[in-house]
Amino acid sequence: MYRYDEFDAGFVCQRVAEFRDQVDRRLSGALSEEAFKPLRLMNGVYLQLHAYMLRVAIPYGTLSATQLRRLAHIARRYDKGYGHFTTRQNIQFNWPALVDIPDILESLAEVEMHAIQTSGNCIRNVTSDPYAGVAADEIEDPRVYAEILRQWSTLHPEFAYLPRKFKIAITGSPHDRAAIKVHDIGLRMLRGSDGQPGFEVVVGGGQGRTPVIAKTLRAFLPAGDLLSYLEAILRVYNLHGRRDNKYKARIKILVNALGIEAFRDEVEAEWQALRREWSLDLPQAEIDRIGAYFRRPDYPATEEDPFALAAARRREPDFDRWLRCNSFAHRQPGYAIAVISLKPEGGIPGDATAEQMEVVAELAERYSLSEIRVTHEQNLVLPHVRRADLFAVWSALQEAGLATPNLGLITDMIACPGLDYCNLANARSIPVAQRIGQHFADRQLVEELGPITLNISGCINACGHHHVANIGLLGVDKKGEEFYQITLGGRADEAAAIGEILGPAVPYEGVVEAVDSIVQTYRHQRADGEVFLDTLTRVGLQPFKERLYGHSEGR
Amino acid sequence: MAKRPPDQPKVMTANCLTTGAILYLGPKGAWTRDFSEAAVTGTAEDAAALTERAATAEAQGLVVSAYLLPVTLTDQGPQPLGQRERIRAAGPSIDLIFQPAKVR
Repeated sequence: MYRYDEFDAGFVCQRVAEFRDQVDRRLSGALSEEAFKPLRLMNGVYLQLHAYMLRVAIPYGTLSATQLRRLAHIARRYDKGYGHFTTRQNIQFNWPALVDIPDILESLAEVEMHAIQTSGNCIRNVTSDPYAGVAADEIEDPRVYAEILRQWSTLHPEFAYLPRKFKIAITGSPHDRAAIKVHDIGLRMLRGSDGQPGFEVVVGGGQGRTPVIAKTLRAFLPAGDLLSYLEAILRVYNLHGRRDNKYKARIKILVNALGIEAFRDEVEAEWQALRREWSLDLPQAEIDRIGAYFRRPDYPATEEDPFALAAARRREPDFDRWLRCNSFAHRQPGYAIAVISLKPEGGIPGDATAEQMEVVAELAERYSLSEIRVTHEQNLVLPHVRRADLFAVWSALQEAGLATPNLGLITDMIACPGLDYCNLANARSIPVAQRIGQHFADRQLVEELGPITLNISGCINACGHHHVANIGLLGVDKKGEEFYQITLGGRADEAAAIGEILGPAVPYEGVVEAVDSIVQTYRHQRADGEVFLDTLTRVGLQPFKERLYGHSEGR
Repeated sequence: MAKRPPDQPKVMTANCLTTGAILYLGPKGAWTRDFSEAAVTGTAEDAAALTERAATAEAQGLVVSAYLLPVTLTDQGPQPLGQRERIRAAGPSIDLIFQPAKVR
């Protein structure tokens, strides 16, 4: 993992002191709310529906056991005993008092964490593949470049007041687990003809009220050119992005308005000019220096006893199912990636109590080289588990209510906080997810259904990624009542697609029935070996419409 | 949303600057956590008076983000209008911490 050097540590402490002074001045009346609001937002502090909310950055979703323990401590001491992991691999605390936030930030700084740039019109936390460094299909660990981008973008003076927020995601694997095509900039690692790493650069993706799949800006960018090229993209956006209308201010609108070719020409011209001005080439020595923090660990030698594992699987069918659903191939023989679902049936997607965070921290220390990852699907990962330890890990998770075997299945829902917490929401997300989870509590059935992503957003800002879900639910307000628009066919991986609207929105009370109707149609239409998206692609929306709305309304 | 009449009863609400807690302005000018203790406006003049008091409290650094929320008068007293305000007044519609035993 990356460790702060003296500069990082000093910088973050200085920032805490600065914010403490700003809070003091706000509380004493020296600063008006108008003056204070942009300052608090720059430090991740929102005023939500019920209270302040603090969003803490988890760079590229990597946490140490010590850091997770500190998050648990903050949840317990300063909040109501829990935290909410978000679709940007961050964590949010829903109830902190403003007066406590400087102390919280100081506590975070002690474990090399902060809340800088988790809000505001700047470059936000760079997100990445939660299996970075361990995925069997990976080219190189993308976190080396994510960390370089973090250092480059943190308080970058030129990009502190962009037209709108700016999100970058990076993957080192051909299979995209970081949803890069719905980010302002997405980076997919490739090898060039000389065998050296580089990136396909995609641009202008995003969700919200104008969902767009990113377009390829450059098919291959050598890794050494990463900063200068991104600097050029940001400059073009900063100059030409709209500032008159916040709904048209994201880079996707600019790319669409200019067309990708014209946008590419602008970036190219800026890049060449910039390179004449000064060098932003990444020195290999710096890549190596950062890379050293992410060097593959020296995995303790392990001998897997396949008979013991097989016996445990036979003895404990629940373990067997968890292993099938929640463990994934590791690049190191004898090891596995174990995913901890934060989606118990009827639970709150992405929430973890302080006690659960401590259990995970302890398991990470004991079984996963003290490392944890946060996924954009709002789950946690133990990235380095010896296969021989999987049963012990599962047993401990089971006891803590953390062993739900549903990764990538219909109950592994992404849900935003919705109208229960969020000031922007039009409708609730969490109780909808809870009712769907309860409805699909039969784990055997859920596994038989195969991979289905079901995501819920409480408003068109789409924090719940409903646009790119196989089954998307969008909460809308109709005359003061909560309704949910349904989309089908979205996906967030390398074949990213925006879902299509199925028909009229359904009322809050009818959502579970509607989802069940979609699932029943799928089961009825499904051919051997098909997953949900295969069936949908083959039969189209019509059978789903007919079953849900009846023949006349569905057409 | 249907246009509300100008004399729609309203309650003044805000958040406590220090803690963020939701507050309501009472008839004697004190802020309370209890919705049922809030002053309800009957006329445009009432609303103007509450707005002025809230502006003073904002200027004094007691509260932040003050606004008048429309209510409906029922036998049980005033109730917030609209789902957003109902949830804001009552708190999240879910248990804050999920207890698995409850759904099994």
